[in-house]
Amino acid sequence: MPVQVQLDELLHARRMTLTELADEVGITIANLSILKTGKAKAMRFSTLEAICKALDCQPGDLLRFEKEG
Amino acid sequence: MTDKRTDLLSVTRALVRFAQMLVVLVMALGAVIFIGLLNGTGKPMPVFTGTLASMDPKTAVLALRIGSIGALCAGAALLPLLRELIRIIDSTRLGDPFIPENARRLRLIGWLLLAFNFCVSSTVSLVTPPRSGITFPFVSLSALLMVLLVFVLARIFESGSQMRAELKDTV
Repeated sequence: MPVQVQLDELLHARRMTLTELADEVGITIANLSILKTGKAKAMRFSTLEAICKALDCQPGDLLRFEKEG
Repeated sequence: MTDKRTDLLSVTRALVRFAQMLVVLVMALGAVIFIGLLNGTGKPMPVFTGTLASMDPKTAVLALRIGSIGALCAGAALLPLLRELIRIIDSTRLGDPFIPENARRLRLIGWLLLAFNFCVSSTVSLVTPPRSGITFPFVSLSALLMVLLVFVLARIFESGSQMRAELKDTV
C-alpha cells in the first residue's frame, strides 16, 4: 500500500499503547490493529479526527504516501 | 421489530420446507402415473374425473403422460430453487445477507424460475385445449417479469456484497 499509517511511530513517540488509544478514541483494538497493520481499505473522517485529537497530531503525521516501485 | 422480522423469516422458512415436501410428493405422483401408464391398458384410471373423463381414452393417456413429465420437469427445477431460497433465508437469519454467495444463488434462482415456468406453461398449453385470446405458449409475461426482477435483485446483491466487504475494512 502506497499510503502508510504511522500509528506505531506516533504511539511510540507518545509512550502510549494501542489499548490506551483504543480506550481514548472509542475504537476497538481489533479495528485499530487493522489500521496499524495497513489492512484497512478506508478510513472515516471521524476516526481520523478522534485519533488526531487523542495523539495531538495532524492527519499528515498519521498518514504517509510513498510511491511504489 | 427485529424479533417480528425474524419470526416472519421462520414462518417463510417453514412454508418453503412444506413446499419442498409438496413438490417431492407431486413428483412421486407424476412418476407413479407415468410408470403406471407405461404398462397400462390404455384406459384412463377411474379416479380421474372432469376434463380427463370426457376425453377419449387415447387422448386422456397422452394428456396424463405429458402432464406427468411436465410435473417431473417442473419439480426438478423447483427443488433446487427452494433449496437455494432456504440458504438465502438462513444467511439472512444469521444477520448478513449481503454476501457474494447470495448473489450467485439469486442468479441461479432466476434461471430455475425460468425453467419452472417453461415446464408449467408448456405442459398446460399442450394438455389443455386452446383457448380464445392471445396467449403466450411457453412462458407467461408475468413469469418473465418475475425472472427479470430476480436477475435485477441478483445484481443488487452483488454490488451490495461488494459494499459490505468494503465497509468491513473501513476503520
